[in-house]
Amino acid sequence: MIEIKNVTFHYSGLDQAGLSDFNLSVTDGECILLCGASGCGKTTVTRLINGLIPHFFKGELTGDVCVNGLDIKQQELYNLAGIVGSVFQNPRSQFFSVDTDGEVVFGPENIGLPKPEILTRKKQVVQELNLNDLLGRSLFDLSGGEKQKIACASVAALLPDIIILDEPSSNLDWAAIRDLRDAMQLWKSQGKTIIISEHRLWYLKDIIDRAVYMEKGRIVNEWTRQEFSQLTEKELKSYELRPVTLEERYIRQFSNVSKSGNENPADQRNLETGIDGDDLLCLTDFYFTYTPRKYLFVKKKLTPEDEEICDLRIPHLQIEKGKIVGVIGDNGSGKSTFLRCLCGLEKTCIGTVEVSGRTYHGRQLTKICYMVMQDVNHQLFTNSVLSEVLLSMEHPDEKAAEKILESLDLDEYKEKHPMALSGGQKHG
Amino acid sequence: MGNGYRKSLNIRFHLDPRTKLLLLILFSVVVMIDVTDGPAYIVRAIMTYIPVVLVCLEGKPHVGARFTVLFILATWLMEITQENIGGIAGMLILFLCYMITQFAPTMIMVWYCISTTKISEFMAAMNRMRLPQGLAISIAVMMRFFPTLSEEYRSIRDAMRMRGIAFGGGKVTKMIEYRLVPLLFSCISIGDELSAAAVTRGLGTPVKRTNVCEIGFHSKDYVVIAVTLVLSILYIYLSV
Repeated sequence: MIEIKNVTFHYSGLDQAGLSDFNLSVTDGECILLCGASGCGKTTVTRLINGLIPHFFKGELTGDVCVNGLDIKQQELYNLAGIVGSVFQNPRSQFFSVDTDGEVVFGPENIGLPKPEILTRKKQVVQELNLNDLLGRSLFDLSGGEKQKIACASVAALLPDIIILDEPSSNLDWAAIRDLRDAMQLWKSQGKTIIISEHRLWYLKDIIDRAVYMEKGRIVNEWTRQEFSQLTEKELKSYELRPVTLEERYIRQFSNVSKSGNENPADQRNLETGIDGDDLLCLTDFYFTYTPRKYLFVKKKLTPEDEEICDLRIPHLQIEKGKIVGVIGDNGSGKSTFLRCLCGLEKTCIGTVEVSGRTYHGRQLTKICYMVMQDVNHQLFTNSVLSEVLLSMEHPDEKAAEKILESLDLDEYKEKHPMALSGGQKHG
Repeated sequence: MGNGYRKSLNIRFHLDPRTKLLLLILFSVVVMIDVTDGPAYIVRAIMTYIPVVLVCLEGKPHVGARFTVLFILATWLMEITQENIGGIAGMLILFLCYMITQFAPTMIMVWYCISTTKISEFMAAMNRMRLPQGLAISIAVMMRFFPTLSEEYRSIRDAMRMRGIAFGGGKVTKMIEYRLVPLLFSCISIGDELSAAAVTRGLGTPVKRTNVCEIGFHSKDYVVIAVTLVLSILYIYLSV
């Protein structure tokens, strides 16, 4: 039983959206979806329930939050550990051990359960979530989806009554999302209360009992499962929500594509488009491996013959100039690897790109390519937006830089620190 | 170091974390005492090969082989330089060779110890030695953070190369600034998320923490400890 009454919260020192006069009550065994645009306060609600607010994230909190009859404000975080379990958005930063076994038992070890009890729980969780293949491995070795599975297991091993998931599917592909859904279904059948905050809605529509739509820290609308799955595309759009059903069509279409290891469907496809050679980018011999053969003194250069050990195998690909090309595929199918090789970031990749008669390879590729990476914080180096732009120009020119910012609607932020901008603005 | 974790979790030659800790301490002592000839030097050369043997037993003979060649080369070069080359060039070469022969064994030892110890094992060992939990947790967090740090650093370096500012426009200060500022930011945010995840999983509960992990001394631990201990004592006795 969760009771949130008249809660108003502001993060101290941050403009980040809080909550204003928020009320929500959840009965035992219910599954609630929190949805709404970024910054609507979904995450804040999850933090209220797992006690991170007010104990970890400081701010002004008024109103009452009660979980299983306990007043969150009076409890220490470790008392809540056995009651509320949380799975977070970023799979990279929520594991504490470096090996999978250690992570699953991490929670129970912390609260000092006896050893036999911990081992029984581990066995049970591993069986329920189908984790046998993942045991005994390094967590740095796992894909995002696998990490998220381990995170779920580590939470489940504490046997909490309430499980909170904060945008758990952000970095996952369809297969991994399906596993996540299975885990949630299992928890539901065990009578656990589930609170999930999420942007992707399609995989949840059969699990949730109630959907709560939030805007600017308030609940604006509530639907039952039935109402929610019958929302029309137009209604969803008016709430700026993602489709509830649409994506399913694509999933059925693509989930049957055979996935044998890293096989790349583009492998054998030679795009004979009949376009003039000058307008084409020719990519040849893009081979690359993360596990090169062991060598004694001199690294052996990769050749197309090493195909069987390669993680990326694209002998030939043609791309039309000036076109936008999407590279799609499952987690771990080699999308990022391909892009990294294309930008010349992987030194051992032997691929070459031919553009209007000139051939580029290795380092030269870095000069003609640019990649906007997933983690924006790594790509910003200076203390104002304007100097960030000047930095990457060959001949620094403030006028031209201002023009670029204007075209991206960023000119009003030009003196601000890049790290203070929102995620979307940083990408610009 | 990230790669160390990745590849060597399938441990073949398993030593107790406490054995590794003792080896580390003994090796640090040996590094502090400098000897260039006489019987003590022979003892030192033998000790140098303890971590190399351990690494080979770990299934990485190529690392051992590479180090052996490097070590012999450095020793040989040092002899030649001392006799034939003088001036600044000679000093530089001597310094380099000295660093290799003196510190490389310890560095391999450190790398071996960190890359083959699971965090849970380490926590269990600290617990057995009755060291305070706070200390154990802080060192464990550090161990957890090394691979993350190197992952982050690599992606920042890539971003810099892509923007064409890998050399900071020729200015050393800029080069360091562009690397450190994003690194600090991402470490702070990862650290925050990590601690949030850890506290919601009960880290810091004021009860005695259980350790599921099995650790204990076996015959190989005793052998390794005995050999290292005897050699260290002999070395100290001979060199002082």
